[in-house]
Amino acid sequence: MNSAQKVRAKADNPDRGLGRLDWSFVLLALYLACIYALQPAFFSPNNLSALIYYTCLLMPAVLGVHVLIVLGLFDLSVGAVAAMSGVVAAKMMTAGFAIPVGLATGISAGVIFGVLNWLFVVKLRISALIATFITLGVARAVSLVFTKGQSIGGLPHGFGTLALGSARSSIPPAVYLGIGLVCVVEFLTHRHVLFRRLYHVGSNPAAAASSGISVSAIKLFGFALCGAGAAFAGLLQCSRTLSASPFLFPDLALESIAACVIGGASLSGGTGRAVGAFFGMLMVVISRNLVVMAGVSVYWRELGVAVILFAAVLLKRGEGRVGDRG
Amino acid sequence: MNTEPTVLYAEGLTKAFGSNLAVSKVGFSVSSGEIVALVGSNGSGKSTLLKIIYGTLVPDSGCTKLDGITLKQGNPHEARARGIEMVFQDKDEESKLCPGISVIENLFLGREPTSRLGIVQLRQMHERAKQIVEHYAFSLPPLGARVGYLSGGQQKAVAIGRALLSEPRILLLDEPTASLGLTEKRFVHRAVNELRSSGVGIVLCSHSLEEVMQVADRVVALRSGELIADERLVGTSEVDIALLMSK
Repeated sequence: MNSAQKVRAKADNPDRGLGRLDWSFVLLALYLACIYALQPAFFSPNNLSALIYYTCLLMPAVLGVHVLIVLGLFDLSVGAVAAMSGVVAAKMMTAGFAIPVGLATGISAGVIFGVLNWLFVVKLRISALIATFITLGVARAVSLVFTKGQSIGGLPHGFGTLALGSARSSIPPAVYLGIGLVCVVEFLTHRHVLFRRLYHVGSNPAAAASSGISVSAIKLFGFALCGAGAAFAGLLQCSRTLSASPFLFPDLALESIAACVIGGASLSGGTGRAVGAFFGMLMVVISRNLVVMAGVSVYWRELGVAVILFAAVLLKRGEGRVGDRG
Repeated sequence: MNTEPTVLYAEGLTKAFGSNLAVSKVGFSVSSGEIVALVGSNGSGKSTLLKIIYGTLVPDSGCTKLDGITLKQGNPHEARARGIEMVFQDKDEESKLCPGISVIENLFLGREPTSRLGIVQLRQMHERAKQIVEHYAFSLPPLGARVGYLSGGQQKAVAIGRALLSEPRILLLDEPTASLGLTEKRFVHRAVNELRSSGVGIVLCSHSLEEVMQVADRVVALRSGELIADERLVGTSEVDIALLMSK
């Protein structure tokens, strides 16, 4: 294949190779180059592994939000649901139930809130902004009522192995879980018919419905996955600290949405990749870390994410992709 | 006279949007290998009628039967499963396909071949699409290209290709050639004739009387949602159809 044929083949099949990730890779590379010039200490192995670890802890929730963004929806309640699921699981474990029972209850609580969001958005036709803001309030209230505003400590040590592993683990299991989930979701969203439906419905719900696809069922699947993802992120965090707090993850929803957009997704739906969301979240986490590393006041913390988000939107617009619809 | 068995039978279909009666007690039939043209001025209820048959609209009353068995109303999934396909007109949201995904995925939307674990069989899809392209001497855009990048005519070609791929028994065409050039129009007419000879019943909704004269066997005329004529086209001229519409 000569070079002209290669160019044409890529134009014919934009999903081949890096495709849509080109810009998030470019953005990440540019960003890392700037950081290297300004703050070489950032690249110490300890700091880098801590960043990847923290990103992986959050990835289940980010992937859940990614699924909803592909559907053209979003969820503001992921942070509150993550905290609530951790609290529910912690309550179960401190009440003497086995760790798997606690985990299952926590995940179930997340799925229930996902289904609640679906009921509000799809069945009651409340906008996703308002509906998920309502469930955010409900989830936070449940956590606060359950804990009376206090953290729950004294969780079984076995629970800690989920995020931290044993003393012999050089790489914590949470890293394998986070990266493994990204790979699985990336594969499934490319090749599995149920996950492809997310893109079909997000791209044009009317066309999907007229093709016999149940738009409502696919949205239920998306919301339930998002709830489960949020719950799993909450459980990983609780496993890391062996405690649960009702105040965890105040910014997770907006950070996840920002990560997906930085990673190439469009809020109009129908586009976006799991790997892009991972790199997007990595950039968000790096921005937060950079402020600490540079010794800048924490009041500047939000600015880093805002600048990257703005750059991502500008780069995406520069692509001029018609298929993005926005 | 068409002696083929009746495949599709619509009876007493009625649909109102608020106080506006879009279709009123309309009934007609389509036989195997027959092309029925639906004619009428704008707002006469042609597209509404096709959407009711396909299942994207639920009628207030009436029913549609395929091979004598009543179709579930408002269920395009069942309509497709039983062999009814539709190409929507350009202004419908449905006609826009899914702009963010590839041509090949749009061609198989809703009926992708999968493994037992649900993995989409891309190679099988490409092979099947190539067969259709060769069979109908059809010109499709590159199969990996995103539909959002394509021109209106190319998108229409994808929509028609999608209908052909499923080997339908009844094909509903709502203004299929409205946005097409001369070459593409010829292709559509050739494909329609080929489908007729292979026994597919076709309902063609068109504003072009020339097109109706060229391909249709029978004409069903609507005015203000009511059926005003159902006649065979033998010995009928364009003027007769125009008069029929303006009765």
